[in-house]
Amino acid sequence: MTVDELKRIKERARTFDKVEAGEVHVVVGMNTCGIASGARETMHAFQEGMKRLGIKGRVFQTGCIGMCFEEPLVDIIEAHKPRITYRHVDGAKAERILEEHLSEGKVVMEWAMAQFPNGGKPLEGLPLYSELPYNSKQKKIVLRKCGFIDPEDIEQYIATDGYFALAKALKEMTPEEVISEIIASGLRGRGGAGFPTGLKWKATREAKGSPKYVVCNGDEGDPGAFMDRSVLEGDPHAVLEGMLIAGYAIGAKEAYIYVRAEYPVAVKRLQKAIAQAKKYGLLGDGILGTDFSFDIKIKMGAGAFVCGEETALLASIEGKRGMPRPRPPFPAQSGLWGKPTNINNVETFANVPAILLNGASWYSSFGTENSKGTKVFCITGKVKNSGLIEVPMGITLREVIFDIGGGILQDRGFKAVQTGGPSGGVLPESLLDLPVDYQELSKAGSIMGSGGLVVMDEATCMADVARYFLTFTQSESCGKCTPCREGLQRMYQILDRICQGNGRPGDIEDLEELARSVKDASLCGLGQTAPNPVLTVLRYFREEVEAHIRERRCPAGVCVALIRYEIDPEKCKACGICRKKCPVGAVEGAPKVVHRILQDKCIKCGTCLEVCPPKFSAVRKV
Amino acid sequence: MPRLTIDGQVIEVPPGTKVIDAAEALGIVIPRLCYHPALGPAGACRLCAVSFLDGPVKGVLMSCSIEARDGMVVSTEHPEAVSFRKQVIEWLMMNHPHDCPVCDEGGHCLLQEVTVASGHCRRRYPGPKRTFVDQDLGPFVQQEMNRCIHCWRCRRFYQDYAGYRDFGALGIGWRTYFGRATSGVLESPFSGNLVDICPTGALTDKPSRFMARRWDVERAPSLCIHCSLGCNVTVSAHLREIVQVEARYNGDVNGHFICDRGRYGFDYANHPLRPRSPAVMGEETSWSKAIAQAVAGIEEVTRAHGPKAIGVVSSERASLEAMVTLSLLCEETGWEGPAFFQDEETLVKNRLLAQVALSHGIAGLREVEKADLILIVGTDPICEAPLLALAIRQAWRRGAWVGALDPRPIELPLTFEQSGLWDEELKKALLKGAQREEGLEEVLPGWKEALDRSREIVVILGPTVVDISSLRRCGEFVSKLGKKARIFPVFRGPNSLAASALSRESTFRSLARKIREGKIKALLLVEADPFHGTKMRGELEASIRSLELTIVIDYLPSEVVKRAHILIPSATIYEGGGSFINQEGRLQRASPVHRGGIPLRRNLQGNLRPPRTFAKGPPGETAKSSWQVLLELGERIGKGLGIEDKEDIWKVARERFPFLWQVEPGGRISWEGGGVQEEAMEEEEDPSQSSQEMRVLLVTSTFAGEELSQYSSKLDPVRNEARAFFNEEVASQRGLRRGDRIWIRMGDVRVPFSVKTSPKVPSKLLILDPGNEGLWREVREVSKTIGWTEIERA
Repeated sequence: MTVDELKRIKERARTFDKVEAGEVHVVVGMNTCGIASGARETMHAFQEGMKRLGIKGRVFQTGCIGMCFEEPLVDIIEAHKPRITYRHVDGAKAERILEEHLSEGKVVMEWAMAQFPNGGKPLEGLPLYSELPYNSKQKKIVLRKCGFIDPEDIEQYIATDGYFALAKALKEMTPEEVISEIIASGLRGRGGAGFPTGLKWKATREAKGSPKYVVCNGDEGDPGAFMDRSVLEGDPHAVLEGMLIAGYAIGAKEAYIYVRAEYPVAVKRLQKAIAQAKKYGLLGDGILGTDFSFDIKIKMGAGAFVCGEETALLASIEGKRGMPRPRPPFPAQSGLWGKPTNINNVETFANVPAILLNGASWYSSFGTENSKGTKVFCITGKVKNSGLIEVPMGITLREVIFDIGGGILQDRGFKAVQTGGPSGGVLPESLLDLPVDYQELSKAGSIMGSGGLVVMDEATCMADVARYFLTFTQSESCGKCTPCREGLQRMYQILDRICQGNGRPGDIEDLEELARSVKDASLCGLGQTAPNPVLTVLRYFREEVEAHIRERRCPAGVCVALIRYEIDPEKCKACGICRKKCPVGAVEGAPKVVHRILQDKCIKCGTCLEVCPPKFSAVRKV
Repeated sequence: MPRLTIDGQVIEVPPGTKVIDAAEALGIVIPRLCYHPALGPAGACRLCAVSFLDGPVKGVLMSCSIEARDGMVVSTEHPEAVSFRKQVIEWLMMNHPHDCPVCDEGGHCLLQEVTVASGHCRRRYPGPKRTFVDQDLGPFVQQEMNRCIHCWRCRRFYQDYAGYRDFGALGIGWRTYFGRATSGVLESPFSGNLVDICPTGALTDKPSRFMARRWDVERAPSLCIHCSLGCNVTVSAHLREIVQVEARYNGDVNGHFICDRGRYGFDYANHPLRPRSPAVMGEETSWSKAIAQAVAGIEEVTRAHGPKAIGVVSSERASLEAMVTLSLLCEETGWEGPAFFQDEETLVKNRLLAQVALSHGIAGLREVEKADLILIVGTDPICEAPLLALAIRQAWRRGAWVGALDPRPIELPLTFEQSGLWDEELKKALLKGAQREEGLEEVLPGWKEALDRSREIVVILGPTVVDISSLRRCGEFVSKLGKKARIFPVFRGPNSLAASALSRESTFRSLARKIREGKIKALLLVEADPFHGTKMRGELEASIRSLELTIVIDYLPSEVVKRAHILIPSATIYEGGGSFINQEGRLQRASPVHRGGIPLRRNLQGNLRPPRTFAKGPPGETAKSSWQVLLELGERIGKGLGIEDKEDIWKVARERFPFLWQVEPGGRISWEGGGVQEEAMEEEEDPSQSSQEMRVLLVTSTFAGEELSQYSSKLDPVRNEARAFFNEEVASQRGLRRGDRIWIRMGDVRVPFSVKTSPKVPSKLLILDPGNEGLWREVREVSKTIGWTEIERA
């Protein structure tokens, strides 16, 4: 493969999304989010239906366009007509779209979500995709191809300027120039810690020892985070290209992608991508006619959260138990098998091709003073539009949650947002106007993290949230260092006691002391950040935790031990519904006898409250 | 060289030194649990936190993980660091059971020490303590997981340092469990070190469990004499019984560790049948009577047949004091001997090995650890000198290439090349190697590349399976490699090098010949059992029986002891101490640990208790080492040596054998070897060349075959069964598979063996390891070759 051949492939494949007259392209969102919502069935329905109805064209898959809450998404592309996006397309809906839209040319307006201009007259009454509130504030760099190309087809990637950044680096730039370009762009590690990527590359390039390695950290373990998975599933070649460029810059010939085995689709697509890249001569010996050789291997992780920590990840690649070790030496000096190793996150690598193609100044025009570019987030929790977004740094949390996320589910009140997963903090409403930026988040007691945003509504108990995150971190602690192993368990026990209504005065102070010492004393990032949720809860929601201890009351009505369901004898009409529905037989009563809840039997599941007819409203939570 | 200040004291340390070690050099011991000099920093316990007040790094940081750098100002007593460490102790104590009163570690427990030092005394957290279910880890190591504080030392030693995988960390977080997948005997022959390195009572010594409190035992520095490495140990005795052996740090020899043979082989000293009292014709008698009888007997034989009719036999396990006394006594009296070796071939091999090694630069365990190319010739490290395997592994971990030329299927905890060569093939290979540098590439792929990049080469050479000409060839081969190569000799006994140096022509075989010829009428055996490992039992028995007088001085209940006319018990190394020269020529001394005597068992099973007698010393005490007995004998027959005590022996020896004694204990001797009379040796024909028969090679294993540890009941549970190693192809042609049971007929005895196969075993060789097979002792003569007609399926 030479650069000329690459250009020829680009010319040839350029037309992949151009549709001939009389043909139809059906594009189905087939990321894990789509597949989980039934996209396989949808895709199958379109394939079969087009055959049956004799419609010319083809059906192909694409990655996640970001709107996970609308999956399965299907795009219909016809020549000289706007491209129409349908949402929630299951098998039955596919049939009607096939019949009305594909056969008769009538857009099924009730399911259509948006349109893309694609030549021809725009359809009336259907918003443009880019004008959807979900999209208008986003800026897609990493995700620019997700949802538009088939991730399993290298030619579509090449057609969209794929591997031209690599060609530029290999043909026109020295490794030092590549590194200074990355430094100039201000790109910082997207895995969470935010170390300047270019400086890391420089340190690895200058480190003594050979061979050197490039490692891609795709061990995404935070609850509620799926950025890396979406990028690997939607645009695997961007990651490969980023790694190739990093390899050229630091002088490495071998690389590993560490990806969790729980991401089968991502693994499969990566395997295909690597095989295709090898076939096209973009991996292997003498890439693009230069003497640069590079090979990438996949290492599947077994799902330990701590393996996201770089030294633990490297140990895991070496076949050892995934446990961190003291730094220094940093991986740049002594990493994989004791050799200089550059380790970056999936998203970091995916940024690299765009930076090289468009230039550092273009990239650094996005974002804030010390956080450049964009960041991919997963918004989940009690928010209307949960999905994958990419926003310029510096955007406020309010914009993310209310403009993009569409506000809180069931229009309840907002209570808190958790950034950075179990390592991050819980931020209250008063900080909604905080710009998303490494420094600002850190000042507020949280971290940028890899990009999980969990939104909580007013029905969330913050003591319970803190306990939940500790459940996770204390069971995912590798058990190596004392503070993380013993301290987190003890913090969990205290919080659990508080949530059980057995809190004691002094517990909060103990928690704070423990949290601070665990943060200071732990060996790796897991322990150093695990107390963050507790610390921020105590900082912003102290009264709520105190209410658990002083008044034995859970203000949000969540902590099971602190709530009780009662039947108001005045209002109960002895209809018997709650008696029949109670799963443990805790409702006592008979026809025409006012019902009563036996508190020692009740498991506080809340069924009685749910089923009590609104006209009576006899059950209440106390 | 970085200069830093620790607690106001300035010190300059070599680059790369960790702050914790720099402080130790100043005499400031920073508390630590996970850090161990041999295992390096882990950063796990967080106890070694100190305050960095100024310099390149600042704040409270772990001194085990931070290298000393110029300008650092460190305070170990800064309030921040002290409270940090106190917090760590509090965490560790949250789940610790506080069962010190019933814990064997109590009194020498690192955790106990640092906890008391931290001032922690109040439990602030009322939550439940974590508990685990314990496993049975075999006869040596007692697990008590509730006491574990997760320092990871055991796992780092067992898997990383020693290279065995059956013990490790299971689970994560606070549930992390150190053990095996299921209960079972630990596979590593180094498992006892877990006891030493565990900083608390989670892993304790099982054989000595509940036997003594630490402050009640008698302890002294001693030496391990179960192979030729001379590892340093600390021995504990209690109520006249040796209860525990621990590794004693010696950076020049064994470092921090010892093997399980050395650790649990001590029990011969407590053996219930150990000779405790002098005996004449099997009847117990008093010291004075036994000595008088011996003197009378010697005088009678001398009168009738002259002094040359008395033969003197000792062995490679005798102390240097005994060897020297014996040599001097023989010179003085004109007795035949002393013979330290079984036969001429063994003697010549040992002397030659010593000479070859000494003339090429002798290597010890430290040189092995530093080497980048290791060639093993005719040695099975795990079986012959177990700790050597650990040293090889350390070199391998640093990138050394390891190759082996040996017909046995060697097992090592590392990746290495092996070629199963023996005899002619081995000779040929070594010749090729001696001719051209890359000559070994044919038999050991990777040799040439390793040789090209090597800077320090160690050739490990043992005399058991290699014949004399191959030994000589190996010397030529090593000279070809040049100055960067050294030889690491592996001898059989703890004092073999001294035995080679002090040996004259006599060997046991030559004395036996003279017995048959009627020239020798009496034998004096000093800490020697010719029956041990003999291939000619029948002949030996006849020779011994034909003697007019057999005097045995020994501490083992050996076979020759049972046949002695006059038996005089001697003291073990634990009671008498002694000097030994290890395989690299290092002179080392062991101190006496206790006075000895019949162990005062506390199980009240009548017969095990010593008799109630009234005497000056404890019942069964053997106050005398063999050299003292010899001096007394010499005195009584009018051949006094003018030696009163050990100091005198050392003084005389320094004059008479300067090559052995110029150095202070701990140094290496300056003997150059020499005196090998090769022409005396006729090479035996290879009898298998012309027949269908296989030649027999007799070998020993780690826990069976070494003389002293054979008498240690502590090792009984791990002794292997008798094994017969066949070439894989030959065995399958005969329908034999790994694990099959066979009988091998030797004379009129059928001995059961378990079949082992390996492609490495040469096809015309049958390797026999008698293991713990009792029937083996019935074999009157071990056949040199074995045909298939003598092998039958069980």
